[in-house]
Amino acid sequence: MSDDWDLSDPDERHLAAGEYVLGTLDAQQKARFEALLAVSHDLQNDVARWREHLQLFNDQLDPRLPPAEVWRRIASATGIAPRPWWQSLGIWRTASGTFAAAALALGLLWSQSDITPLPDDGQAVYVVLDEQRTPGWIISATDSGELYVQAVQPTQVGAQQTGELWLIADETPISLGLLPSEGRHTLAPSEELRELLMTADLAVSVEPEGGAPEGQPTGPIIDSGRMTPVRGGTFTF
Amino acid sequence: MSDSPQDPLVTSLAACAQGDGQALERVYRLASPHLYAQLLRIVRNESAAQDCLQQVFIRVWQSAGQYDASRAKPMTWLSTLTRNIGIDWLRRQRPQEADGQALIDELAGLDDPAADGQRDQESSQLHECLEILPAKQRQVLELAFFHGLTHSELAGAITQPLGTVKSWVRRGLERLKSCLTTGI
Repeated sequence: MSDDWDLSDPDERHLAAGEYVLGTLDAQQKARFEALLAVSHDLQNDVARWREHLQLFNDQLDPRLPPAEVWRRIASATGIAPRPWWQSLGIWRTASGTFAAAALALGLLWSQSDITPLPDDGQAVYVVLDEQRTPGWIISATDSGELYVQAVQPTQVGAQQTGELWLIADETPISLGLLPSEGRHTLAPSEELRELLMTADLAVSVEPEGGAPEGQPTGPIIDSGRMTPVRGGTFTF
Repeated sequence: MSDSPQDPLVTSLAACAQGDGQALERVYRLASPHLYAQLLRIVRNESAAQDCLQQVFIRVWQSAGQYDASRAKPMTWLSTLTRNIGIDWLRRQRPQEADGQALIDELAGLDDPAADGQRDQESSQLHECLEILPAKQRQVLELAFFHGLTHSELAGAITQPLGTVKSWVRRGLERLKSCLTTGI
């Protein structure tokens, strides 16, 4: 910029702070600006405000989920021990749009004539979605506490594999049973588990045929979520 | 400047500074989709964006103690760090771009809203402040912001006189600030 760049002028200084944050100052101007910035609280505040203003350019971008691999690399580089997925459900749930996606999937399914997602006395529902948001199963709870499972497209479960449904209580997974690869199936959780059903995290993992051998999940997680009460149902929290 | 003392990013960054790995995981979960989008916009390459994102979180882990909630919103702090890492990556690539082809491609892409990943659904007042900017002003501001170009580099990139570019930048900044602070 020309020699008339006068940082003693307050207006000029204020705009220079904007240009500094934007990154358009050349090396010499940047050095002059930073010399002043180091000693001026007002200018530091100006820079902080411009950062908030220009954050607008970032805010306009659609969020994109990075591949799971990136977090594993970070955990390994920082020496953070990776935890089993069922201990991280609370963390991972906060930012996910699972709830809305499940509602959407359910709406879509409802319009398909060959699938009746809810039994007549269905009180709450959980739609298991894979990473592509394809519904694998619809799980509905009746008011007597039984779980009706309707297979839709369990695409992630291969031959000699099965989907297994887990209830996570105090970061410990408890099996609710195996999910069918097609058709319908009924699960009957114990009385204790029925009480937790509506408030606990549920998850589905891929397990070898016959279910997880040690009673703990071994395979990759397909989805996690919670039961959503059906409007007009009598389930109470 | 944080919205509330309970902002989970603020508390998680404070916990990161104490060496809490779960807190870093929380920050990652909350912020990484936004920071990844930012990096994709800056470096325009998925694999490079992922490498940069990894660097960002290693830096967060090492320097979370420097975050001061009274000076910046947590997303702004994280975004600033992310932008610096993304633009550093670009600068390392730039000498190899003898003819500046990537930048020309980028300029062509600026007219394509889909390529920008603009968010349609949340057209709040914030986005109106971008909308009211004359196209040239918005273009130079975004080019500078996401590419780390100086005034003279901008002038070269869009083949306009330096004085014109400077005035677009300044008017754009003034307009943006006025809209954000007074709504005009």
